[in-house]
Amino acid sequence: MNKSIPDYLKYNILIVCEGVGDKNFLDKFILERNLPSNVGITHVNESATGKSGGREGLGSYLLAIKANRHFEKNIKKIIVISDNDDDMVTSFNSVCNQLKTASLAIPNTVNEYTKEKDGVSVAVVMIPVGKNGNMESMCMPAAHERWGLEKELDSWINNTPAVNWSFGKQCKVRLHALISVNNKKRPETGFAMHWNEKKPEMRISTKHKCFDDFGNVFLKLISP
Amino acid sequence: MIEQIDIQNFRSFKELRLREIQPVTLIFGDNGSGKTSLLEALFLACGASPELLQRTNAWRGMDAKHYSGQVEDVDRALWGDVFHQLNTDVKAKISLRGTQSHERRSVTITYRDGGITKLVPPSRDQTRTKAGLVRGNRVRFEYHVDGYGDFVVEPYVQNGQLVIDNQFEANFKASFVSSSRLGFSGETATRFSKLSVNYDSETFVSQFRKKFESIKGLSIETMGGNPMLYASVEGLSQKIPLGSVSGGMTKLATILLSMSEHKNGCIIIDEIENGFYFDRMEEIWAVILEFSDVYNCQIFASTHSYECMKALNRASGETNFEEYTYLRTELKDGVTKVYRVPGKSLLRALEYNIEVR
Repeated sequence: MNKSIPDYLKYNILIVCEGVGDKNFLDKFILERNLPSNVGITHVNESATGKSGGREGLGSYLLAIKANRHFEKNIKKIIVISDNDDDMVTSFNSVCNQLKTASLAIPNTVNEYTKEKDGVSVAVVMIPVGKNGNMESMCMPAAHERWGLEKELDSWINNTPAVNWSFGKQCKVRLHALISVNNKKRPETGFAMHWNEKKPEMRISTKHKCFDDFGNVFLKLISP
Repeated sequence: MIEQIDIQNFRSFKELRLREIQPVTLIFGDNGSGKTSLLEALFLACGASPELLQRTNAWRGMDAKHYSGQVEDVDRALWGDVFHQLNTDVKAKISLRGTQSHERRSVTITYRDGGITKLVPPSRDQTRTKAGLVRGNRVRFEYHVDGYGDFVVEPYVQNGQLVIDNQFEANFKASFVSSSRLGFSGETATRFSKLSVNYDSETFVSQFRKKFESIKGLSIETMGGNPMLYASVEGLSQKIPLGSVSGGMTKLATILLSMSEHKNGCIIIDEIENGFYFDRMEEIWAVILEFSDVYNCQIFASTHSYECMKALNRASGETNFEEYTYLRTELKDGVTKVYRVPGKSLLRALEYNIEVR
């Protein structure tokens, strides 16, 4: 009776991220870097609830997943992936509060598994590793190396209201613009769907060195 | 209110303890995972007649009257599956713990092999067949109720009928609504009459009409010597049996009347969604929860339906829903495991449309 088992609950390691873009990136990252694929990946599905998604939805979503009968049977480790945003400590603590909501073990530090609680260990990976920012800021070096346009984007940002935004938020704008202006066929494509692009030349490479720190942490946590 | 259930060696249960049972318990799980057995165990321990076990066997297509052959074979066919792994050498036991002394009770079921059929003098013969051959009893139900004492029931089959000479009277008020049968019409009629005698039937009819507007009234009518619950239906010039109007209406009437009769007791409903249109499930739950409050009647129900769970959530409100008891049954290697799903977790799962059954 495994018909109803969701893909993300088929393995012992469950990766939970904030949004569909993060999940799509991880799928591609594992595939292109030949990492162990014995992990399930899911993301907070805000559209299902009408409630908040992203980091604030992690606790509710984890609670929901725990009700599935395959969770208790299969899941031994959970890796939560979230953005550092403008303050690494505050963001990490915020993820820990979400873990508390879900009655899961709470780690003292990033990138390390907790001791088991109810048979499950938890690790929190904040990106980019060791600095403020988000998934988009982590991707920027690879994006600029692929498409250039760094100075042009600097100039453009400086002439828009986004000039006063945080670095992380500016990166979201910059990446969206970069992807858009380089995809004549579908300029409306956003960052979340970018990873579904079938032609590699149209995509940011996940093998770029800007992802290496994350890759090392990730590999350590998913290795058997 | 029942707060704890312990089961040993009963049907697919090897050993089970359920604590902190709440006023509403919803059980879900795969076919054959032990949902109905759990409800049976509960009902049996409430003091219900062992006849319940044969009734549920009949619902499953294993009616006592269809068995024939050697007495020992018939007995084993009738009672063998009461015991875990059909092992009649080990007694089955079900215990309840509740807030009232009469809710602290247990039933122990034992089975004795061989040497049962015997001839006895007519004067001592209480279960004599025409031939003067007396069937001893292989299966024995020993009840214990705190503050009441012990009581033994030894059912047997005679002429194709299950015979229970002595009924256990100190029963906790409990009613069992099966998944496939709506109960006996006479029983429903009697319950309605009891309400009517106490001038309570109007409230019941009013509640019922709120849910089913086409029903203008309910009454007991005797046709062919058989008292039945009849309905006045909009557009019909004559009353008709409620059962002829709708199976769902009859089921709801059965449930609500059972609850009104079992004040301070419990109602056990197998596959509660059966017979109800999915879009009505929320209001069905709402009225059942309302009766549960009014009559302080604890609810134990099983379901296969995700819609049914969502309807309970909507009918009860988020806070109440989180506090109920949710049990998932799973069968592994012939043994039922029961997992408790926290209300908070179930609530979020329903919000995210995550499968929980």
